[in-house]
Amino acid sequence: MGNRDILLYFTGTPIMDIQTFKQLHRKGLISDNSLQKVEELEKGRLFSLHWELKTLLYLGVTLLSGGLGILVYKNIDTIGHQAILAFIAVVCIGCFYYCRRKAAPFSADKVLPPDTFFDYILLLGCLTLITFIAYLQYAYVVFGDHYGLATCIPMVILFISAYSFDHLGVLSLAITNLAAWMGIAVTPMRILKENSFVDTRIIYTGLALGTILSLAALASDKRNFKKHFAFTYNNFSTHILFISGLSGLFLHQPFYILWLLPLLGIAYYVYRQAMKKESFYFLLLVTIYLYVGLSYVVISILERLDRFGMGSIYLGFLYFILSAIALVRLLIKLNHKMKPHDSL
Amino acid sequence: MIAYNRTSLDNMIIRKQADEAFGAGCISPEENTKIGVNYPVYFYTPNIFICIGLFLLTTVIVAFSLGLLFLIGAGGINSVIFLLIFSALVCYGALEYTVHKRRHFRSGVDYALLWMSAGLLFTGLYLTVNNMSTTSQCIIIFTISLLFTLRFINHIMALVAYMALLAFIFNISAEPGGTTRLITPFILMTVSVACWFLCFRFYIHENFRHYRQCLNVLKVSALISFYLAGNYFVVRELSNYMFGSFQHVGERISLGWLFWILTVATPVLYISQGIWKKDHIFLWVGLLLMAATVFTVRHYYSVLPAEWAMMFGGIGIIAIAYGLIRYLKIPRYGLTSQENNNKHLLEKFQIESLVIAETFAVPAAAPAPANDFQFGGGSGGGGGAGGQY
Repeated sequence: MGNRDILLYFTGTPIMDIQTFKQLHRKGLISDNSLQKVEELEKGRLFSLHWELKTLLYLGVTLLSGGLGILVYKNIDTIGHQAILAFIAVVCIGCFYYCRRKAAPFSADKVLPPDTFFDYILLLGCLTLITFIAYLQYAYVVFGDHYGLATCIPMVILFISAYSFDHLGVLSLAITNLAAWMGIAVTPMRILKENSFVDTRIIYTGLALGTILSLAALASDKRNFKKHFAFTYNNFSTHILFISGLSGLFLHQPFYILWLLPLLGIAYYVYRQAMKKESFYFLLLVTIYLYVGLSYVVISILERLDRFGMGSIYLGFLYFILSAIALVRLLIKLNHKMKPHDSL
Repeated sequence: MIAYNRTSLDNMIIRKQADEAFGAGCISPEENTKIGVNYPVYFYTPNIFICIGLFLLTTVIVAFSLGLLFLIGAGGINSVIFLLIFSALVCYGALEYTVHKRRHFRSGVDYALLWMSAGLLFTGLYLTVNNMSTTSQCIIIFTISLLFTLRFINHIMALVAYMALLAFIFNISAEPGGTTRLITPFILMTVSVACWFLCFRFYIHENFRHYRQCLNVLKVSALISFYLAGNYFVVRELSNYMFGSFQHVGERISLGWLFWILTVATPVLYISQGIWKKDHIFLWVGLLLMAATVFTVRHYYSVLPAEWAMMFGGIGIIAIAYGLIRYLKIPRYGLTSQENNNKHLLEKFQIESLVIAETFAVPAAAPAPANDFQFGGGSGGGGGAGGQY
C-alpha cells in the first residue's frame, strides 16, 4: 500500500485499492466482472522503475555533456574550431539520420514516438543544429551582418522537424527562434529579464508575433492539422500578447489609458478561447494579467489625486482589498460556469 | 479533530479510485456514475490553476487588510502585538468559516488563510518576549504547526512541525558545556528512526487514514534527517561552526570512520530497501542521497578533475540506466522499466515543452541581440544572449 499512496501523492494519480472495490462490490455498485478486472489488473501490476531510470538517464546525459563541454573549453587551443565544428556536425547529422529512419510516416494527427529514446535524440539533434550555426557565426562570422538569415535557417529547420517528427519541445524551440528572428528573445521567464521594453517598437513586434502565433493556434485547431500543437502556440501567444500590451500601458505615459483598449481586446479574446476549451490555465492568465493592468491604471489615477494626502493611500489599500475579494468571487463563479460538476 | 468533513474525505478517495478504474477500463461508465451518486463529496476543490489564483488573491486581501489596520491603528510595540494576534485570530476564524460553511477543501483560500494565520500568530507571540531564545521559538513553532497539521491535514505544516522538533532537540543537546554535546548526531538519528517507525505504524492504522499524506512527508523527512545526522560533511562542518573547534581540511573528526561508513552505507541501504520492499519513498530518497554522498566524498577527496569525473560518472550512469531499461523491458522480479500509469500529471499539462524551451533557450536566443540592433536602432535594451558564443 505504501508505494501506492506515494504515487498518489507525487503524481496525483491514485491507484486502485482492492479492499475499496470489494466494498463497492458488496454494496452492489459494481458487477462481478468489474471486480474481477480490477483484481486482475492489481495482481499483474508491477513495480515500475520507469521514471527513476529516465531521470538517471537524463542525469547521465547532463553530466556527460557538461564534462565534455568543460573539457573542450579548457583545451580549445589544442583542439581548434574545425574539429569541434566537425564533431557537432557529426552528432547532429547522426541524430537526424536516426530520427528519419525511425520516424513513423507523417500524419496530421498526433504521432506517438517509436521508442523511449526517439524524443531525446531528436531534441539533441535540434540543439546541436542550433549550436552548430551559432558556433559557425561566432568563430568564422559566416553570415556576416545578415543576422536575420542566421536565425531564419535554424527556425525553418526546427519548424519542419517539429511538424514532421511531432515534437512539442522542438516546436517550442522553433517558436523561440521565430521570436528571435522577429527581434525578441522569448520564453516566459526570460522575456522580462532580457528585454527591457524601453523601445516601444519592440512592443508592436511583440503584438504582431502574438497575433501570428494565435492565428497559428486557430489554424491548427480549425484545419485539424496537428491539433495538439494549438496549446503551445496559444501559450506563447497569450503571454507575449499580454506582456506587450502591459508594457504598452506602462510606457506610453501621457496616453496610457488608450492602451487599456487593446489589453481588454486581448483579454476578451483569450477569455473566449479559455471558455471554449475549458482551460483553467488560460482563465487564470487572463485574470492575473488584466488585474495587473487595471491595478496599474487605478494606482496611477490615485497618484494624481495626491492632494487628498493620506486619503488616496487609504483608497489604494481599500481598492486592493475590495478588488481582490471581487476577483475571488469572480474566479469561483467562472470555475462554476466552466465545470458545473467540478464543485458544489 | 479534522476540520474538513470526514465522510467527504473518505468518499473522495473512493471516487478517485473509481475514476482510476474507469480510466483503466475496469468499470463501466454507469458504474462510475453510480459510485459518484452513492459517495457524494461536498467539497469545493477547484482546478489547480484556479487554486493558485485564489491563493494569491487571498494573500493580497489579507496583506492589504493588515496594512490598512497597521496604518490606522499601530502605535507602540504593544499595539503591534495586539494587531498581529488579533489578525491571526481573524484569519483563523475566516479559515474555519470557509472550511465549514463554504466547504472549501484545498481551494487555495484555505491554504492562504492557514499559513497567514499560523505566521501571524507566531510573529505576534515572538514579539511578546524580548530576545526570545531559539529553544522557545522551536517550541512555539512546533506547537502551532502540530495543531494546524492535526486540524487541517496539511503536509507542509507537518514538515514544519518535524523540523521544529529536530531543531529543538538539536538546541537542547548541543548546548555548550552540556554532556550530550558529543552524541548529538546519534540522538538525532535515534529521533529520526523513532519518527519513521511511528509514521509507519500510524500509516497502517485505519484511524489515521486521513493523515497518510502527512505521514508520507514525515517518512521522507525522517529518512533524510537520519542521513544528514550521520553525514560526514554535516557533522564535521556543523561541529566546527557550533563549537568553534576549528579544524583544517586535512584533519579528521573523532569517530570519523563511523560517519564515513554512515555516509556511504545509508543511501545504499535505502536504495536496496526500496527495490526489495518495492517502496518508492526509499528508492527516491536513496537516489537523492546518493548524489549527496558523491558530493561529500568529492569535497574531501578529489580523485579526478571535475570534468573527467563528470564524464566517467555520466557514462557510467547512462550505461547503467540504459542497460536496466533494456533488461527490465520484460518484467523481472516484479520490476519493470515500462510506464505503469498512463496519466502522468506532467504530460497532462504539457509542461515538458515549456521546460525544454526554458532550459535550452540560450542557444536559440544567442543571435537575438543583433536583431534588436537591426529593429530597435540601438535601444540598448536587447540584453539577449549572455555572450555564450
